[in-house]
Amino acid sequence: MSLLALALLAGWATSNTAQIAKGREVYETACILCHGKDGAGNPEWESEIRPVSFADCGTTAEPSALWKSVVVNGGPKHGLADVMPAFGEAFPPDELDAVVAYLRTFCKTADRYPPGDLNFRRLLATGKAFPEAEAVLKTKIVPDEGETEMEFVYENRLGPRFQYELEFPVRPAATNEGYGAGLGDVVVSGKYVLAFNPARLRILSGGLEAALPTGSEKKELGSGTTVFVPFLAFGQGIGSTVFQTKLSVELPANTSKASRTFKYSVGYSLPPIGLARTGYIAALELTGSYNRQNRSHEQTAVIGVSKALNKLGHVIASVGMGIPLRPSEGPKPKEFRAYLLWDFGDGPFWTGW
Amino acid sequence: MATAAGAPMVQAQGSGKITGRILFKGVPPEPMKIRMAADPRCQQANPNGAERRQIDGKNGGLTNVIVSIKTKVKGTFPPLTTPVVLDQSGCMYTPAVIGLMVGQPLKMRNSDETLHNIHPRPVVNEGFNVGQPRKGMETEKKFDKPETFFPVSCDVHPWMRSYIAVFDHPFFTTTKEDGSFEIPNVPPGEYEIEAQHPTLKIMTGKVVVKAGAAGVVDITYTLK
Ligand code: HEC
Ligand SMILES: [Cu+2]
Repeated sequence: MSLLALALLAGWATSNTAQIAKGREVYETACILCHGKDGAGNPEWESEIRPVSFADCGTTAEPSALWKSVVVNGGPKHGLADVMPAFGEAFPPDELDAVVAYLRTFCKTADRYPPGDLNFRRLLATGKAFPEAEAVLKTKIVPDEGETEMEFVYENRLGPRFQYELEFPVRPAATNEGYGAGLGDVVVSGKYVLAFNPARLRILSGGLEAALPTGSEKKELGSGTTVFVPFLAFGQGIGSTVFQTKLSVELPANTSKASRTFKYSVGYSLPPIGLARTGYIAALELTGSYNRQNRSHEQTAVIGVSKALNKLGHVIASVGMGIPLRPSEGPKPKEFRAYLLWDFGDGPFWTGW
Repeated sequence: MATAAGAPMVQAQGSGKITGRILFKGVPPEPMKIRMAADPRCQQANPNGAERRQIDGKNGGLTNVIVSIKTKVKGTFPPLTTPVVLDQSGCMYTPAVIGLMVGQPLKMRNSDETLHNIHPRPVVNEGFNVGQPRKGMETEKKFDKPETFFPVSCDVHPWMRSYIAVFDHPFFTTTKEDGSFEIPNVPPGEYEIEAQHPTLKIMTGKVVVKAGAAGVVDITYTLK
């Protein structure tokens, strides 16, 4: 077998045996006394604070950059316990890479999981490809139309590549037209990571959403029919910037109540100011929908900024503004968008501050 | 280095000194056995086992006490520049107590073939926790505020523990095995002195220092 084929088979978590051997040496000198032979904590080590088990494959979602920073700067820098020391310059960069690569080998099936390095920062309008364990509160306000929409999103992972999701849209207040508040069409969806390549920093997912007719049609909270939405989501890191896109088609069960609509969204995140995990990230997005039946094409440019609110970087807020570009005629009310997310896969809300 | 009040920097160069002994009465507790099972290399370094004496000393004297002048001494004192070494050897810390001046370097050295981390837990000063995975590694840190004893320990080997006190003047010292001490270069005056021990409460005493002479003071701890 050629070397290349071997390397491809070996996957991301065990990419290089020489590196793994070096990482193991570092681990055995500097980490094993606390983190243990199997990465789950040394049972002989007396401490009230127990480290996470690296054998838990959920840790594949932790980006390597975060782990390296924890090793260099210590636990408190990322809101973790001060028992985790700062190793400063004790390890040159190659040893640091090696020890983190070695930590990845404790999860025996790590190759099947997309690594946290592909978990790009969430955008305001464009959906993600990475499977998340996350709760998100989103809002969109259109002041000119006196309209406020809120959405509570719950996402969770099942196995290495699958994620399910529930979305509860609510309109907290009546609009200018006088329609009441209430629950909109609840969305149930599943997403599967079709392909990922950590070396090339790319990830592709596909899935299906079903928007159920739970919202009142009379109050214009719902469409009155189930809408199926197959979609593709793609993420690509380019240096320290990120390109993300999501394409979907809305297929209503009852086409007299709603019509087929093609939706697209693309976003480009600028290099982070500060750490990629916790710093400011500004992003530009273009989101639109095209409806063939009535030949309408709506398009909005969104500009936003996001920042982690805590040191661990698992609670993030974003705010931004949407400027409608299409249709070219008619009013173009500006919209304000925001989200607050908690990646509960990384820990309880109150840890890491 | 400028001083806040614009006063000239004065080296500690008084002509007097303070001497005396820190003593204890009563029966010291049995030394504690240390269990080193978590790290085989520490076990190898201590084939006969290791123990820690909380109350230690000879001839009724108490060692590992830091004695310092509590009264404000006139003048501003530049930080001592010679680092104080905290050595990690045989999975034990030496010395057991450390007196430092504000801004004086603390040099932490790993003399063992095993990993140590040095984790002081001050209240007033800023803490840190540095890992030293390899033999021969050295790290220097400073503290920038005066503070009474706070522990410094290794999280890998919880039995490793010393105490650090930080002063904004150079008039402090550690008692010898027999509890005796000497604080040199003290300007004449009337002073209150303070004794700090890792596990006993702070005690004070009074002493008068005349030019060119030693003021003598003893402090006695009564163990319960
Ligand atoms: C003195 C014990 C100790 C040593 C030595 C130590 N760690 Fe840790 N480490 C911990 C503890 C405890 C935590 C958990 C902190 C928390 O969850 O608040 C931790 C957390 C971590 C984390 C964060 C995991 C996460 O996602 O929450 C990483 C990564 C890590 N350690 C890597 C290392 C590496 C690599 C080494 C060796 C170079 C090392 N540690 C040495 C005790 C230690
Ligand atoms: Cu140690």
